[in-house]
Amino acid sequence: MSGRPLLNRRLDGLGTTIFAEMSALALATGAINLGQGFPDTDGPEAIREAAVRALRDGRGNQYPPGMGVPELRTAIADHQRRFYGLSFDPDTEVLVTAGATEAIAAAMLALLEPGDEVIAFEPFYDSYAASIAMAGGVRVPLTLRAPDFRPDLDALRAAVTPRTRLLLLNSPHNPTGMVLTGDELTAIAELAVERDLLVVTDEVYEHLVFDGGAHTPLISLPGMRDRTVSISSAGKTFSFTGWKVGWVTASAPLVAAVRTSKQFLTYVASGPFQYAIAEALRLPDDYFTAFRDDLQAKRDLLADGLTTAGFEVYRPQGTYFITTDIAALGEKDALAFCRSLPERCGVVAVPNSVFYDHPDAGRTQVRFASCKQHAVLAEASSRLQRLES
Amino acid sequence: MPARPPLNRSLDGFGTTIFAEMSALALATGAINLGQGFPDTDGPESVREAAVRALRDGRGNQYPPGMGVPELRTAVAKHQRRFYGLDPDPDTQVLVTAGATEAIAAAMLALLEPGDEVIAFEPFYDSYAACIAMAGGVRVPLTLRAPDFRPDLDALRAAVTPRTRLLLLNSPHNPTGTVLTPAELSAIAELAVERDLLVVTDEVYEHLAFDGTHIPLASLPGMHDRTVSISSAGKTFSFTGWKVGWVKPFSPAYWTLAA
Repeated sequence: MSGRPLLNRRLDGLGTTIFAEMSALALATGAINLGQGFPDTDGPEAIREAAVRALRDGRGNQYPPGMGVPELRTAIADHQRRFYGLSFDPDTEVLVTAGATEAIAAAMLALLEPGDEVIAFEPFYDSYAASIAMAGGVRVPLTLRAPDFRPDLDALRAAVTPRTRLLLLNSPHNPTGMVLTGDELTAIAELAVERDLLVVTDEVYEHLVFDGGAHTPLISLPGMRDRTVSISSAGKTFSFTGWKVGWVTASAPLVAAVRTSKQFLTYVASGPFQYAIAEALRLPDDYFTAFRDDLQAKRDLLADGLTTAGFEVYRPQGTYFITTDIAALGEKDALAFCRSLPERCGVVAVPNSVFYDHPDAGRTQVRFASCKQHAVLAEASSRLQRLES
Repeated sequence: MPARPPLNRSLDGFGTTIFAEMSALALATGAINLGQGFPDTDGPESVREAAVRALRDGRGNQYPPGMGVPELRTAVAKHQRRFYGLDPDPDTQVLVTAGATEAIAAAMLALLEPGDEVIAFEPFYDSYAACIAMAGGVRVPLTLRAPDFRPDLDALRAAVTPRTRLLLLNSPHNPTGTVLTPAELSAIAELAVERDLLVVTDEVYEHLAFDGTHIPLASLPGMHDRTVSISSAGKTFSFTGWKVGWVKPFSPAYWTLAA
């Protein structure tokens, strides 16, 4: 074994994620796992059978093209036109990736020089910090504060320095469920243009905006078409998170840059699944509406259960996560609370504090995933009622 | 479009691979494409049907564990025992990746500090140079020369400096087909131990050594704890599009890099 520490300093402290710890706890205790964000029901059978046909027809069993199979790139371009009125050239402005995670990593590794600053909402998805660190960038958090988690646009403006290279934005936002408004998007776009910034947008929950709201891609705003790298994926929308099919839509020069690092991260991925997701993206509107309505009902079921159990619930506008505050339960530390929750009532959740650079801002916040079957959410709600007694 | 070029300087020149250019030429001219290395016949039907069953049974349709599903990690460990007499612990010493390409990228991004030197045979697979560059490392080529492309072990020894962090080796070697001999492997292992180097071995052609056998460097004395052994299913089973690779690392330190 070499004398020097194996892991480089940039990645120090990123060794094991909270998800691994909490999933192990769920397994050991038999608790209901509302920690990790993947559904307990697979997506449409027709899409699964599309993957079977691709496998059996020999489509995607060998390396797909580096940009992704043409059928999927065309379907992604058509999806952007159908839902947002955006027009992308499938040959030069669409790149298929191994999920949104690879797209984010590739974007950071392509677009950042060491020392560049990246402004991102906190709490943030843990891969953001790691991807920025691997690229030698510097993370500058913009804290979203309870109860409504709106971004402070003055603070955002003040956070921009001459070293700022890009904004890494996520809306609908995991874990808070915040969805950026038209006014907020406009202000962000104006700032990006004024300060000549790139913006990378993580839009994987684009089809999970509730209560009659809608997702607006930042790239659709004036001045943003040539400075935004728009990222999404199939995993959340079609409930096949294991297939790892994601994509980038952006101007040709930005796609070329992201492709440069992407081709050396995985080269290509998910061969047969690319064909299946091409079909999924063409599902009729009914699918998207029913999916959203179902997840909204699940949000309501779990949010009500959590409220009755004594949590302060920050009802999300989108995503399939619910952020709560446990101070109302007399609790002081989300991490300790989550470690004890399986034993106390047989439910697993994750502490939001691990998604902050300033852990105090999320010290008493706990996240629950609501993307599980109604019966599972009902049982979890019932178990959580034991907390107060 | 912002004024600064989109791509960072370390990746300058890596934009389009020669494979893309030549494949486009094949398509445009209708020529037989012997440029890119993937088979024109899929692997065994029984393996393809195993994938169909997994899909229909709902195994793997949602996120698998970060280390890979236990069934595959156990199978990789058994493969190492069956062919090489090695005994990795499937729970802590086997990591499943999105092909060998991701494994190499993750290894470079995890193990290198900016400025670290990496010695690699040249000619090399193009992802090596890019991965070393993304990690801020410095590539030090050891040229394999025609007609037999044997590594010059004296030159290798001379190439090691105090800044050398690791050797990135590939045997059987793409593109020359060189397979390292037991004597060469011993010399490399002794050098790695003497100079306290890590070694990352790309062994994706492990089942394509003709007129001889592949020996993993990790099986040599002193090498188990300093070798990251990488292989994949694509070449061996002729399903390159599935992108299943694996690592037998000595440490759990970079599990989370499996994007």
